[in-house]
Formats: sequence, C-alpha cells, structure tokens
Amino acid sequence: MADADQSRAGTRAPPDGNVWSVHRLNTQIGSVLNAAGDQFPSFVVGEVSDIHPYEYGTFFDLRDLNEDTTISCILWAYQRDTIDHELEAGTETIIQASVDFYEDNGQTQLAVKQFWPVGDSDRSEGLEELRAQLDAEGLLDATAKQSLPTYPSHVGVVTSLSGSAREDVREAVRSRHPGLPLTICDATVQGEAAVPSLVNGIQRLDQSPDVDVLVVTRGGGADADLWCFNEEPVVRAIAACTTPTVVAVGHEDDDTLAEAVADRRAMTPTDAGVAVTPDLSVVRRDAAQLEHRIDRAHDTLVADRIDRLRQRLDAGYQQIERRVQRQQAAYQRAGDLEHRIHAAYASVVRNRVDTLEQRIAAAHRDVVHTTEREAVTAHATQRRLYNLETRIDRAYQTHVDRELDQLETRIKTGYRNRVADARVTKTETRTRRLWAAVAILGVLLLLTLFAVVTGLV
Amino acid sequence: MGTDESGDIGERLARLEEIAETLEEGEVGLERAQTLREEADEQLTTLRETLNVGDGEIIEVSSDNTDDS
Repeated sequence: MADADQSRAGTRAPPDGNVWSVHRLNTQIGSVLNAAGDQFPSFVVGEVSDIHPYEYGTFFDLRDLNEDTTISCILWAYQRDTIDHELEAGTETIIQASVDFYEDNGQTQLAVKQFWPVGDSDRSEGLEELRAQLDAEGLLDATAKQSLPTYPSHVGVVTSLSGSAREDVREAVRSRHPGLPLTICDATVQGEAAVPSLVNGIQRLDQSPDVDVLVVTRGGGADADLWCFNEEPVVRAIAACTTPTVVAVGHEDDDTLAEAVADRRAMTPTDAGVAVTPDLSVVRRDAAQLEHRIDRAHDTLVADRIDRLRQRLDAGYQQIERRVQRQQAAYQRAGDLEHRIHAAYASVVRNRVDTLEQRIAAAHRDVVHTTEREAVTAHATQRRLYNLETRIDRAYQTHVDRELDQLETRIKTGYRNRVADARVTKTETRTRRLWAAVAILGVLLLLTLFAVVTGLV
Repeated sequence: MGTDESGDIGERLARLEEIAETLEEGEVGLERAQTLREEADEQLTTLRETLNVGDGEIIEVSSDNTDDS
C-alpha cells in the first residue's frame, strides 16, 4: 500500500489494481490482531486518566509513564462489579487486559479484566506539590482574586484560532453584548509547544492597554491534552496577570491549576464568555425598569406637588370666598343701613316738612284768621268810629243846631232886644270860641280814630 | 485597561439609580425634579445609543508578538 502511494503521488490518475474498502481493511486489521493475540502482554502499567463511568462500563485512558502516549480502556460493568477498589485518575495502575479492535470505527482499546493501583504517578505527585506551593503563596486564596469588571470595554481571549473554544467564546460574547470588542490571541493549547505559546499569549494581552478582562480557554480533551494548563509557567503567568482573568479548560469535571489560580474559573469556553460579558438584554431591562421608576417617581412627585398646590389654592380660594362673602354681607348690611338711613331721613324730613307745612298752614290760617279778625276788628272800629263820628257829627250837629238855634234865638232875642251891642258882640265872641272848641274836638276825634285803625291803641 | 463607553454603562446605570431613588424619596422641589428628569432622559438616550451599537471589532493576533494576523 505504501509503495502504491509513492508510485502514484503527484499524479491526478486514480491507482489501478489492489484498492481496498475501509471495511475490508478493518476486517483485515482485526484478523491480524486476533492472530497475533499471543504477542501482546496480559498486564500493562500506566497512569489512569479521563475516567468516564457509565452503567454499562467505565471508559478511561492509560497514559505512558514516560512518553506522551495513551491507549483507551474499557472496564465493562460485569467486570467492574467484581472489583472492590476504584479507578483513580493520576494513579499509576497495573491492568490486566486484552487488545480489542473494533472494525466499525477502526479503534483499538484494552478490555480490562482487573487492575491494581500501585500509587500516584510522578506527574500526579508533581502536580500536587505545585498545588501545595501555590497554596502556600496564597495564589489559591479566594480573597486574593480580582473582581471582574461589570461592564468591560474590551475582552482579550487566549485560545486556539482553530479550536471550537474560539467560536464558543465569540458566540457567548456576541449574544450578550454584540458591540464588545474582542482581541483573540492565537495560542497552541496542547502538546509541547503549548506552554510557551500560552505564556506569550497571556502576557501579551495582559499588557494590552485596551484589554480589561482576559479569558484563557480551550475545549475539552484528554487529560494529557489539557496537561499544559497544569504546567508551572502557564499557571504562574496567569497568577501574575494584573488584568482580571477567567480560565476555562475542558469540561466541568476537568480541573487544572490554571483554573485554580485564575480570578474566576469557568466550566466551559461558553461559560467563560458569559462570565466576562454583561448581558445587554438585562442592561436594557434594567434601564427600562429605571426609566419606569423614574417616570413613576417623577409623576408621583409632580402629582403630589400639584395636589399640595391645589389644596393651597382651594384653601386660598375658600378664604377669599369667605372674605368676599363677609364683604358682601358688609355691603348688604351697609346697603340695608343706607336704605334704612335714607328711609329714616326721608321720613324725618317728610315729617319735618309736614310739620312745617302744617305749622305754615296753621300759621297761614292764623295769619288769615288774625287778618280776618283784625279786618273785622278794623271794620268794627271803622264802624264804631263811623258810628262815633256819626254820633259826634249828629251830636255836634245837634249841638250846633241847638246852639245855632239858641244863638239864633238869642240873636233874635238880642237883636230884637237890641239892647246893647255889647251883648250881641259878646254872643258872637262866644260863638267863635265854641266853633274853635268844636274844631279842636274834631281833630282829637280824628286822631283817636286813626290811632284805633293803625293799632296804636 | 479599558475605558469609555462600556465603563459609562455602569456609571450611567448608577446615576439613573441615584436619580430614581432621589425622585422616589420625594424630597425635591418641582424644579429640581424636572432637572433630574431631563438628566435621566439624556442618560437613557445616551445609554441606549451605547447599547445599540453594531458588532464590535474582533482582532486576531498571534501569541508570537511579531506576527499579528
């Protein structure tokens, strides 16, 4: 087969002749192995690792104590149940087994019948010594761990660019915070080159000014594949990081010193991505809740203030209303008083006017009566004067007539007697005197009448 | 170490929490409440702008310092 490969190498034409199918090949391998069964030992010694127990049997790897070679083993349940001790990872163990070849997948493994632990392997002892030393230095102390940033601005990842861990971390970060920048440092994560590669990658990203959280990870694998994460240079490089570091190696049941000294251990690469990345949906939800709280608190506060102001306004309005009512009552009372005063004043004035009118009327009547009475009196006086004048005139006339008669008689007598002129003359003198007295008496009578008429008497 | 907008997320959330608590205590006047509300709106707007950015950059480098890819 090898000769055919060499003869046809570099040509595009398919090989002629003896080309086997996979089934034929595996069948042939199985036949050869079965035929050579007596050439294999019944007992093999190595370090047990990667133990995976199931109901039907326990799978584990047996690693060479000196070389980096392993072989898979199966301990069927019916054999396991007859053995009174347990397989322990990291333990140097002698097993009794036969070589089985599975033609379906072309894999070879040891079917274990019995095993005998002979103590820890040198590698396991070295691992525990390093763990103890790290513990003594406080590098495993939980209180020495740095807190991861809640909202990192840039995540650094040390892993293999070709491994599934890279995608797992990237997907975890993108699903939670799509905008979060990643710097992924390609590193060899198994084999001899892993230690310097991991150390360089860790130190490089730890020194990056942009990276504020660091993930060191790889996917699952055999213990031998993960062993580089127990190597002291890698462990110390992680412990020396000033950047908070998350380490996720293999699966949940894989335990390495790199994870022990990290600030945070994650079970898987996906868990590591989740651990370093804030979930923006939670941030958005928190922001929405804060917005709701702020809206509600603001509205409540404003409503409370408005309510207080409304209460003050209502109280002020009621106070003003009461004041207005009091003023209106005062105005009403003043109006009533004004009306009463007007009415009383009008009444008083009317009464006074009526009284005055009555008094005036009475006075007028009195004056009229007085005038009438006085007129009557004057008339009576005039009549009396007239009567008196008439009586005087009559008396005078009578007297005069009498006197005249007397004088005539005397004259006639004297005349006739003409005894002496002196007697006649004397009679004439007496007549003149009488006339003077009558005149005087008339004047007095007129004066008296005048005085009566004018009210002087 | 990282800075700027991602760091601002925590600061803005803390400030919004502070504003919410202040308003919930109800001991501020209307004018101060209005100022805080406006600040909260600005913080929320900026925060959402920060959260709504597109996919962040992915830089791939080699553990060999001289061989970035």
